[in-house]
Amino acid sequence: MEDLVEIHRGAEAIIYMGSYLGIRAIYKYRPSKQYRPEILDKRIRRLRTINEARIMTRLRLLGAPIPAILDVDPDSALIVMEYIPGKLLRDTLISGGSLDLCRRAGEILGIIHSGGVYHGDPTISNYIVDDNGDLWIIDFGLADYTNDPEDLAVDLHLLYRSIETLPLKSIDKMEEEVYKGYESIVGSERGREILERVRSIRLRGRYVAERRAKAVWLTDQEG
Amino acid sequence: MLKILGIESTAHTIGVGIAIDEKPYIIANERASYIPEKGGIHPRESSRFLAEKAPEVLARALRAASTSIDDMDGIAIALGPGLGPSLRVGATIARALALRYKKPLIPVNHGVAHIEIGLITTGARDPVVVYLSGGNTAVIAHHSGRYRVFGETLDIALGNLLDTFAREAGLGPPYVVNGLHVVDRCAEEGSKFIEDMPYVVKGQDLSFAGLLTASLRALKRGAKLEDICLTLREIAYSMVVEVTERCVSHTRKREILVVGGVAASPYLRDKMEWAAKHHRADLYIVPPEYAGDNGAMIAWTGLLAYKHGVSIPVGESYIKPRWRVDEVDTPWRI
Repeated sequence: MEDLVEIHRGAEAIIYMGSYLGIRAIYKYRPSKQYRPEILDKRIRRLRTINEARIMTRLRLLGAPIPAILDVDPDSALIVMEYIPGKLLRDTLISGGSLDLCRRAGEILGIIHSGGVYHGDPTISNYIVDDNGDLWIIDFGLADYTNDPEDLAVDLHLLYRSIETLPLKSIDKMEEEVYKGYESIVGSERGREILERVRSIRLRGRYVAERRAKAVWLTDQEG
Repeated sequence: MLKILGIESTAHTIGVGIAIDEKPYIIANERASYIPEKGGIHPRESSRFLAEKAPEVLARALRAASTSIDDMDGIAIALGPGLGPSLRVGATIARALALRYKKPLIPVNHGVAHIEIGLITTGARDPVVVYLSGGNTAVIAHHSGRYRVFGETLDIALGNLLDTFAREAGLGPPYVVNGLHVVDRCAEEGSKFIEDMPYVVKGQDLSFAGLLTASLRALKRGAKLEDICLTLREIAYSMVVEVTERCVSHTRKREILVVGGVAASPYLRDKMEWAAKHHRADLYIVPPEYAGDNGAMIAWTGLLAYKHGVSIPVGESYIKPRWRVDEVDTPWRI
């Protein structure tokens, strides 16, 4: 644990890179928030750590390509997980990644949803393409259990939206592939139901889903 | 010099303000608020009160600014969001004035007005806005021509939570005494944090309904009222600060602005200060006279809009009880 290097500081967690028993590892740590009473702060950090680790374990067992949990310490709000080396799906797609990756992204979301879980932020910046060309999904900080088609539709919508921020012409084709992959896992009936929801979310014009996409806030500021 | 008269009557306050496009910007801000003797705001009773008080409040505003309606360049009206019966009172008056004095009618969104008055009175430029009132709880930031809702309550508003609990516990009405909410005051005597009260932040949204239910249940169970207030306050404010923090972190904005009727809480301010410092952001809180619903904010926002060509024919000036902040184009702020 001695050589931890901070690689990202989010609103809720700090991500460090290090090693664990000789394996390159990611340390996800939820620091305490002094504006919360200590007893509440401890409870929240502990519960969220457990929740995230449980969900990740469950999805791993279902065969979802996500980092393996190496260690969990709820009392210090720490999760240690496998490091997935590679490039963001976003960057891969921009530099001409294949449509197969889009299909696979849809499949992976389908696997997660079939496990009764929504991801909460499945944008193409949270998918990683490893050196073998295999696709992974990371960051379950906003994930939770659900039976509500609305939650699943929001997930799918977020994935679509993040694709739509790409400066590319083949967006429609990409979204089609995402859906094909998604449908191949959840089945065509469920797939159509969720897709219908996605449409209604968009028609509602509420930014409920849109605003969840970091892309809305960051991509055009950065790009 | 542009001079705009603004009318607010979205809920329980009839407010008339007058704004000009040079310092001091606001030259009148008069109001009357319906405070029920018991229970919550009954829309019918509230609208009756607003209609009764409106002429007097309007006269007071004109007198305060030593001006007349003839002198105005336009009449701004909050068409929503709010309670239908209340909205109709203000809208009727505004339409009548616009027709009788041949002035353009300017539609204003109540939530946008809370934000704009916060910006002009605090000097914040491009903040993450935390909008807290009896009917609204939202974290908002401006992006590409509109205010975007980053996170909001999924059920009841923060003010609604505090007021309803206060009412059930016999602490109010009135809910705010000497600028401090009765729940805040009661919590000062609390000493013990009650376990297992729900803290519900879902992504960027929050939910207070479960917290209200749990608080009422604790009350029934015989827990000490002061301890319940303390726990309720700490959980509710912490939730708001957490969502704010997320928005600041995502948008990378460097300012936080708190607006709306619940903005004044010193306990919320303490927590916000911590978050602001932590994210190297500056914290701004709307001054008390512009925190609650008021006519000045409608006048000021109407002035900004009118300067950018916004007005509405009287025949189309329907009230919009569910008009969202993120449905409003803001040509004055690109």
